[in-house]
Amino acid sequence: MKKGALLLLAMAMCPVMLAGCGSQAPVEKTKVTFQTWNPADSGPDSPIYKIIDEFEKENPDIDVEYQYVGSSSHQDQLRVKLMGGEGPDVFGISAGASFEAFRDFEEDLTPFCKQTWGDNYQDKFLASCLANVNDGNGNTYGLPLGQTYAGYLWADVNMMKENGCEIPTNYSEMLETCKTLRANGQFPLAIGAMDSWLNLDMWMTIAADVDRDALYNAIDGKQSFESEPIIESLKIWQDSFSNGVFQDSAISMTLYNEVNDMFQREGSIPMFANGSWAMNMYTLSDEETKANFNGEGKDHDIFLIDWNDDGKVAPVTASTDVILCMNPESKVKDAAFKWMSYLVTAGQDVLVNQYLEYMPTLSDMELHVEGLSEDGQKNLEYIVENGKTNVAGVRGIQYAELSTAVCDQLEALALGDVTPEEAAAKIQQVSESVAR
Amino acid sequence: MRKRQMLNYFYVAPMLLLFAAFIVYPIIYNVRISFFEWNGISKEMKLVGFQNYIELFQDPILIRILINFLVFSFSTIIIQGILGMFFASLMRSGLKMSGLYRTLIYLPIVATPTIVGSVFSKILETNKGYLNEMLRSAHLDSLALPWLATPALATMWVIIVNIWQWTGYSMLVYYTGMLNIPTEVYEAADIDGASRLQRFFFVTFPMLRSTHFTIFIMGMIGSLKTFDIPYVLTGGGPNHATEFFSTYINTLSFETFNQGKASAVVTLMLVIAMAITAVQLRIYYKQEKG
Repeated sequence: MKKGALLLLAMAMCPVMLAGCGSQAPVEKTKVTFQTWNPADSGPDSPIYKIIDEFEKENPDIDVEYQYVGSSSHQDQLRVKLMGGEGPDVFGISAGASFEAFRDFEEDLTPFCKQTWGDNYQDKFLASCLANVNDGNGNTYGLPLGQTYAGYLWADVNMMKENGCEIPTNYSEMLETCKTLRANGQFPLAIGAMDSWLNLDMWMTIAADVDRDALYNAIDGKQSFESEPIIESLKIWQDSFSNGVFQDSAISMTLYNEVNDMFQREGSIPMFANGSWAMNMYTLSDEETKANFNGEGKDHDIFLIDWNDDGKVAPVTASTDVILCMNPESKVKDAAFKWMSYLVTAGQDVLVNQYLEYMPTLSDMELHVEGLSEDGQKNLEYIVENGKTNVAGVRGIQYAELSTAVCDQLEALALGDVTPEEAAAKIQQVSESVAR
Repeated sequence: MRKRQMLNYFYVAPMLLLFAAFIVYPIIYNVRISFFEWNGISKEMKLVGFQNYIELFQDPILIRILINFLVFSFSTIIIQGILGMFFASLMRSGLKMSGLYRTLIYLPIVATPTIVGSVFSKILETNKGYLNEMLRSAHLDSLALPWLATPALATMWVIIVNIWQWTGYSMLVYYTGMLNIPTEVYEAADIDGASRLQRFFFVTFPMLRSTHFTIFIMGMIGSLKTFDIPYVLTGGGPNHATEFFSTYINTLSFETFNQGKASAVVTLMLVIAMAITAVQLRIYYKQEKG
C-alpha cells in the first residue's frame, strides 16, 4: 500500500521535475496598454495589428494591448479612465483644444526623446508638427503621428468635363463653374457645413488667402478680428452660401457620411471640400470606392483656388492628425515610449506608405505609396508640394471658446443672420475674454 | 418599538445607499462643480462663485433653449396626446387587425434615434432628399423647401420626428387607461342615450385624468431631457435653432471643455424639472382630494 502510494507520488512529481529540463521559462512580458481612435480605424484588417505584431517580434519582452475606440467616444472614455487612475499607458489625442485640455495627463516626453533620438530630436519632425505637440517652452508632450492639411477642394474631372467645366482656379471661375453645374442639374461645390470643424477649416484657408498674418495675429490676440482682411474673408464665406457656390442648404448636411459618400462612393457630385486625409479614397478596399477611384479612366483632382481673386492661390493649414501621449501615471514608461517611438517611425511608414492614412510628420520619411494609381500619385505630389511651400500655419484654433465663437458666427453668416461686420465684432468680443 | 424601527431602517438601507450613491451624490457633485472654472479634465479647479450662472443667464443661447423647450414640450405633448388617444380609441373600439396596427404604431419606439435621424436626414435633404424629389416630380417645386436648413422648419421637423417616434407610447398608455374604465359606466351612458362623441368627451376623457397627468409629466420631463433626435438630425443647428438643454450641455462639456458652465445648465435643468413636477403633483393631488 505504502509502496503504491510512493509510486504514485513519484509519477506525479515527474512532470514537475522534468519541466526544468525543457525549454527556458517564458519571459515575463511588460504590458503596454494603448487606446486611440483612427490608426487606421477598426476591424481585423486594420494595419495597427500588423504594426503591433512587428513591434512585438522586435521587442519580445513587450506586449502591446490595443484598444480601439471610435472618434465619437474616444475622448469621453479616455477622460473618465484617466481621472479614475485607470488610463492606458499610451493614448492618442487630437491636436488643438483637446491636446491642451488633457495636459495634466500628458507626460513631458522631452527626456525620452533626447535619450532616444539625441538632443536635436526636434529635427526629426516637421516644424509644423512640432508646433502641435510642444508647449510654449519647447517641451514636447506628444509625438505627432500623421500630418494632415486642410482647406483643399476635390473634383471629379470626368464629371466636370461631361458638364462642360474645367477645374476652377479662382473665385470668379468657381462662381461661373457652379452656375453651369447648377444649370445642368448638378451640385455645385458641395460642403458639409453642418460640421463646424469643416467650416472652420474652409474659412481659415479663405482668411489666410486674404491675409495670413491678420488671421493668426487675431487668433493670438495681437490684432482685432474686426480688421479689414478678416471681414473680407467672412464676406467671401457668406457670399459662397448666397450666390450659389455652395449647394443649397449646405448648412444641414454633414461631411461624413453625407457629402463624402456622394463624392467617394456614389460618384454623384462633381466637387466637394475635404482635406488631404481624403487621399485614403485611393487605398480603401470597399468595392464602391475602389470602382470610383481606381477604375479604368477615373480621374480626380485635389486643388486649391484663389478665394479673393488677387492672383495668389490660397494656402492650406496643417495639423497633426493623431498625437501620441504617455500617461504620467504609467508604471512602464520606458516600454511605453519604446512603443510610441516605434509607432511614430516604422509604424507611420506603414500607415503612410501602405495605407495613405496621412502625410508624414517625419522630416526624413520618403513617400513611396504602394500600389497607388497614376491619378492618386499626381494628387499626392500636389499635396506634398503644397505641404512644403504653401502652409499658412496651424489648422484650427487652440482656444476652445474662441473656436466655438468663430464656428457659431460662420453658421450665422451662412444663414444670413448677421453681416460680416457684426460677426467679426462678436468674435472679437469673445476673443478679448480668452486667456492666452 | 425602537428595535423594530431600527430593523425597518435596516431593510431600506440598501435602497437608500444606492439612492445616495447614484442620485444624491452626483447631483451634489454637479452643483459643486457649477461654482468652479474647470475644463472637466485637469486636476485643478478654480472657484469662481456664481460666475458660471451669471454667464449662463447672459448667454443668448439660453433664451433660445428655453423657447425651444416650451415650444417642443407643448407641441409634442398636445399633438402626441391627441394622436395617442385617437389611436387608442380606435384600438379599443374593436377595429379589425388592431393588433397589427398597434404593433406598427409602436414600432418607431424600438428604432434607435441614430437610425431615425439618419433616415429622416435622407428624406429631408434639400437637394436630393426623398421628400423634395417627390414634390418636384409632382411639379410642386415651390413646396420643396430647405427643411433642415431653415431655423423654424428645422424645429418643426424635430418636433414631427419626435411625435412620429413616440406616439405609440402615448397610444399604449391611453389604451391601458381605457381598459381600466369599467364597462358599467359606458352602459349607463348608453342608457342615458349618449352618442359616441358624448361617450368619449363625458366618460372616457374625464376618466383618463390620471393618464393625462402621467402623459403630461412624462412629456415635460422627456422634453427637458431631449437629446438624441435634435443631435442626430440637426446637431442643435442651424445656428442653435434646435438647441436643447442636453445638446448644449454636450457642447459645453465635450466640445468647449467648459464643465463649470455645463454643470450650471444641468443645475438649472434640475430646478426646472423639480418645479414642473411639484406644480403638476400639487394640481393632481388637489383634484384627487376634490
